[in-house]
Amino acid sequence: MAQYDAAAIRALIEPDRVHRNIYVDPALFDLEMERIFTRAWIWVAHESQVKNPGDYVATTIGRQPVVVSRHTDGNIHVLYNRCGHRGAKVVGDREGNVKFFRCCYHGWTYRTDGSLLAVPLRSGYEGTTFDMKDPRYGMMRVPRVENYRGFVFASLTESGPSLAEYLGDARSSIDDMVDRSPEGWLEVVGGCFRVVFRANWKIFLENLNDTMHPMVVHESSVEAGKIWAKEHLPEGAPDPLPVRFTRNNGFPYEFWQKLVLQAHPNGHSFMGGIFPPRRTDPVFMEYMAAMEKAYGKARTEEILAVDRHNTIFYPNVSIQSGYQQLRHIRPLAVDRTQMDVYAFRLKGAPDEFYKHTLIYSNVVNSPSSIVMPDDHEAYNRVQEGLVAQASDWVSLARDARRDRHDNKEWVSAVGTSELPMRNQYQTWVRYMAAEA
Amino acid sequence: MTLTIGKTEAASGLDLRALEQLLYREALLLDEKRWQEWLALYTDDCFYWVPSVMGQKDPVNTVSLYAEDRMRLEMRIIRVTHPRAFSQDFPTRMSHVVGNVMLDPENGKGSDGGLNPKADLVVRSSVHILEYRKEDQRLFGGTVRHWLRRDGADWKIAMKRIDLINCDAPMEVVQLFL
Repeated sequence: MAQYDAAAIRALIEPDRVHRNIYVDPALFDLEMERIFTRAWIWVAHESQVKNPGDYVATTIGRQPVVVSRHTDGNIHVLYNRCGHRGAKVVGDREGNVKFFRCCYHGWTYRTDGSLLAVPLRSGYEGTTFDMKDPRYGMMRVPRVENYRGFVFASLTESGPSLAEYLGDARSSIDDMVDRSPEGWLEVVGGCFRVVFRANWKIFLENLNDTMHPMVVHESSVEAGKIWAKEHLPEGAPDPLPVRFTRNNGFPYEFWQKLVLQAHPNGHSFMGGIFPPRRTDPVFMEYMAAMEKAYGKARTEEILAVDRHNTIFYPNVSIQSGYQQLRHIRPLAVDRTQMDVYAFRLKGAPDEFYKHTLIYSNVVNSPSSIVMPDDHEAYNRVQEGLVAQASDWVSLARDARRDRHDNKEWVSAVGTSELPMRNQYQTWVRYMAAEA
Repeated sequence: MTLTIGKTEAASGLDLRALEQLLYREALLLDEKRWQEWLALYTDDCFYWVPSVMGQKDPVNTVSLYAEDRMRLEMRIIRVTHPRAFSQDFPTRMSHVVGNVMLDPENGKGSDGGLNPKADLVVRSSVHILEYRKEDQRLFGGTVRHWLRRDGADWKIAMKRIDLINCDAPMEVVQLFL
């Protein structure tokens, strides 16, 4: 297995191409878990998943098992899911509500802020290293937790940029998602799609803002929308949502070229919308009335004028702000990734309007989606193909010389540029080449 | 709910074998990918539902693996049979085993998701589905309920609910019908 010092890692990333080892070498995957997932801000939960004191969800930060919990004082903590005694995973299920956590092995108990509550049979520890007050015998808190408008992120390092600094102006996509609620708040919908694919996590991240793939990969679902509409609807009739969510992927290249792509520092990016969320049907008008009541006409116009498709918050979460979807990327192995997909209600929006979110979830993000299987086939084939000892290089050269340096904050490009991927690898190499 | 038969014992005049045959026929059409014939078993206002959590109350407040009206069933069939469905370059194969067929003791009460489908009776069964594609086989299994509506001498499926025991498991994409 190859060993990578900083110079070797830098050599894997060139301005417009990357070495295939970054997708197939387990040693690099191990380094990613150590150097990216323990240093960056990692999305762990939405606040509404732990709405009440005692609510918890179990998840992972890279390979680290953690529990996100709401303490009795209302604060949200991210705790290592490890007993302070002998190390057993304390929380064994995915979510729930407790008065306190209790280890299944020897019955040590912990408050929902992680502090040690009780140890059975207190005698016998005199003169030993054990100390009831020492946080190391609790469920230890991860070093940093920050919350932006309900999106909870954690970092496993003590120092580094704040969440606001880390997300920068890409945060505006979270604003876009939350502002669409007349009450300025999101609530997670019950259930979660857990979809697994046999490819490296970065292949999925690359795909999110890749506009050159939809008309190729999704031809079968594009045709499903087109053919169904042709057979059932009069010429010029508006597309029902399932048709819109499929056939729009088949827009011609001119459409995709005109889309906005913005690449932000730290690997974040977003692309312009392809399923304009703004409509004129009665359900939408009812929603708009609720928005205008809450924000006034001018502000409502401003909010609804935003139209973004995927936003990536590097390295592990992507949102579709216009349709209230969130995809949590969980690397399992160098060639295996799990994606947890959540849908949200816009608080204060009419129930009928929320049903559109559900249709989106179903058509696009369910494991039985009509759209996604062809994406996953492509990811899996990239993983299989990159094993080939042909070229060592994966090309990300499209429009590499056409970046537009709009300002000091971000770079934009024509919609069909591979800028978002190149941007991700600038951040990748920065973390990976920093050894300490 | 417009159930005309309220209790299992009231079904004495019913030919349970005919209901079994309907379920077996559905399984056969799915296994043989005779999609149009399969779809013809369903009513125009049908609903095909696979919850994502055990005991899911409705398809609204919790996401569903499948929550399909007839339109979306038709779209799926177009996709899965399209020559450019790359994920079917190596086609998925399925084998359904249907058993434990009985009239649903609860008559669909508490399991219809609040949708109140127009049906004459509810049949409950168990299903094991073996699926194969490329390298791997995988297994789905669980409880199925069919809301059936009289259609002349025959029956049509007004709603099908499949509660998989692994409905909330991490899984690779599911491309065909369960």
